Amino acid sequence: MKIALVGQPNCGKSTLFNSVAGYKSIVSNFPGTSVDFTLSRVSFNGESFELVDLPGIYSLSSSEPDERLARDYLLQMKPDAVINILDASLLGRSIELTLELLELKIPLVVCLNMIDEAERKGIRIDVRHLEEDLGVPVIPTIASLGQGIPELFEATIRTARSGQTGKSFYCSRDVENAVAELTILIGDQTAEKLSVPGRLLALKLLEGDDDLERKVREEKPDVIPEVERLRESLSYYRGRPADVVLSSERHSLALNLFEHVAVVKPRTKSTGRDRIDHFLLHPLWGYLALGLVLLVFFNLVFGFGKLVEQPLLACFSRFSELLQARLGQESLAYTLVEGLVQGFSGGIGIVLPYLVPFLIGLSLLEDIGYLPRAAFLMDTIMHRIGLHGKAVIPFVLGYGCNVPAIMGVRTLGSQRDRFITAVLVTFIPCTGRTTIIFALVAFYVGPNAALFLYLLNLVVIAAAGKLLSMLRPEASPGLILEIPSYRLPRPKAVASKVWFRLREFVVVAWPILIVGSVLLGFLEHLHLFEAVNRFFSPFTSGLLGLPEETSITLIFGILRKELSIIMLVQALGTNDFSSVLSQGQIMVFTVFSLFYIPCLATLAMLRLVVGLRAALFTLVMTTTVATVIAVLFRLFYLLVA
Amino acid sequence: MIITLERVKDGTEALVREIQGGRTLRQRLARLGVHPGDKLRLIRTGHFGGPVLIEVHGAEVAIGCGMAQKIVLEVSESS
Repeated sequence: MKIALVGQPNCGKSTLFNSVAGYKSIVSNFPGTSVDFTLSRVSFNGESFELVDLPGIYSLSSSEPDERLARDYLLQMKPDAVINILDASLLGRSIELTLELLELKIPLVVCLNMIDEAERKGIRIDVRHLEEDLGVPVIPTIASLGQGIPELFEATIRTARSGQTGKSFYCSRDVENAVAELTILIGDQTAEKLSVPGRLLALKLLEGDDDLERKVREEKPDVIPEVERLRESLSYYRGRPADVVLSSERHSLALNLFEHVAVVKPRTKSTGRDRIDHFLLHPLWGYLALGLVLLVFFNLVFGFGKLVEQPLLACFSRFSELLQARLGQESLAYTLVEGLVQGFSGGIGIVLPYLVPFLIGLSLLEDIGYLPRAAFLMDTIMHRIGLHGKAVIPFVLGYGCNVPAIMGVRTLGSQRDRFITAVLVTFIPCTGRTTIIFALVAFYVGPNAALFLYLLNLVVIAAAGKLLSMLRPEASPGLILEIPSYRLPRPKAVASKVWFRLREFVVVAWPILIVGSVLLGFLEHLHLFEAVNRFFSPFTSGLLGLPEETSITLIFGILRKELSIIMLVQALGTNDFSSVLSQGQIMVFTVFSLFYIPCLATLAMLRLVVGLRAALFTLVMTTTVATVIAVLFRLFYLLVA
Repeated sequence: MIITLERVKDGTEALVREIQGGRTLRQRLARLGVHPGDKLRLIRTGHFGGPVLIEVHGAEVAIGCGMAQKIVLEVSESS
């Protein structure tokens, strides 16, 4: 049995999924985070079924990629039942999606989630009445507390068995006439071939759904002029475009239904949320609060990381010394085992102390609901670089790791915004690059120099943003974003999100790190480094003025950024870099590492999200920018010295 | 009084009279519950060309300044 979860963004869908499926899906309080769907096998009361968490969608149209994905899944995979989760406190709006889902003619159960929040807002919903109106079971739940979940799945399994599909809601006479005429013109066969119920297909064509129109054009091209004629006549008699007619019809059906089943107490005095938002979204205090949040956030993360990193690394280096004594420095066994230990400790000792607290902090901010507020505040500033406020989320994510940041780009409205944001995100110093900045510049040159690099980085991102928006001059569609209520983060949701993001590092990147480290040890044993270094020497020592041994470390930095610094120890044969590198060289090396080619995982994600061309473009752009800035730094230090 | 969204004052309640934009804009607004004829309340005006924050059907929605300029409202004289 297959059961799909469908709901608007931020309705608690993923929370519900996680409460039954365990650590598989990613939950958040930022609209539109679960962009790909996740599935899990669930057993309930001896019944085993497949539960699919579809991305949050506002409607069944096809203009947004998430919505198309969800719709295609529902139409093609034909789940045995759909659970439509609604944020009960937003019933009037959420139920529009329910009306569309009813047209799918798939057994449906409505889950009225966050019923407690609705009551707090003064909305009382008559559940039995709603059940009667929709013709499907309606189950009130509080997913975050697990309330109502057993009843929900009982009802779902029952409904899937009985095949109960609910009622259709009918629009005004003129619209229904057009729908009826079009349904006949399309014919059952075509509708079946496209696996779309006839009535839904007719409604969507009248509304001007590009995806379905294209499909019908391929199957039955002579229907299209008829569609256009019906659309024109609708908009002629109603005095507004056909898509507005259809969406207004659905909207008023939803509002009527809402008024029929719910009683709303008039707004009392301002709520706690209003008071908090009054401060956090204030044109002065809001920005100060944002600055403070980021300051505290980064200080806590890096403070914790530093505390843990030192003793951990000390532990590993003692272990290495022990190995060296036991196996002998020149033996192959030592080279390989030492590489293994280096890669392993690189993961544990450098990345986990930073990555884990960072991800926990970020998940907390996300689940509390602060990130959309940050987007609200940052909108003006992001406009200056041709983007809008929502793009700030991937940017902030990017400081943790560019990979999830690029995944987050999918929540942006237009292809152009996704492209620009994704390319810019690759410039953001992730934890790996931060490690390099801290270990080299902050340690050997000073904390202010490190801070300067962060500021320089922002300036470069802004300049690159300006440049890219000149290349893609279409106007950004602008910000439109729901600002959700504040919510108390649930430990389980935070833990599952941290794990989900961490898993990518543990499963994908860490093995690469270990293999890379062993490989490097092996190459060293065979004395092959020199060949590689000599090959790149004109670039590294000729152009950048670095010791040619650094070439190999920069190459390994493409595998994982933090490898550069781990390998630098091996390549230069010392832990004290100031004994072999001048301050200028340290700066040049760090600046180049900061801007050059993003790591392999990031490139792979870029290709997946915005395409191969964008990935190649990024490759060229980052290398060019890194080289130019590194050379400028070299010249500066030459002049100063 | 007829006025566009980015120009009304905090706390104003108004009816959406018209959305002066293409189908994409109309659909994006409709998704978050903004249709012609709907009542909305302005919570916070945009500052320095920033977004406005409105309440519509019980949800709070931030709308960029450029988009807000395309939303025509009808504000009753008494308010």
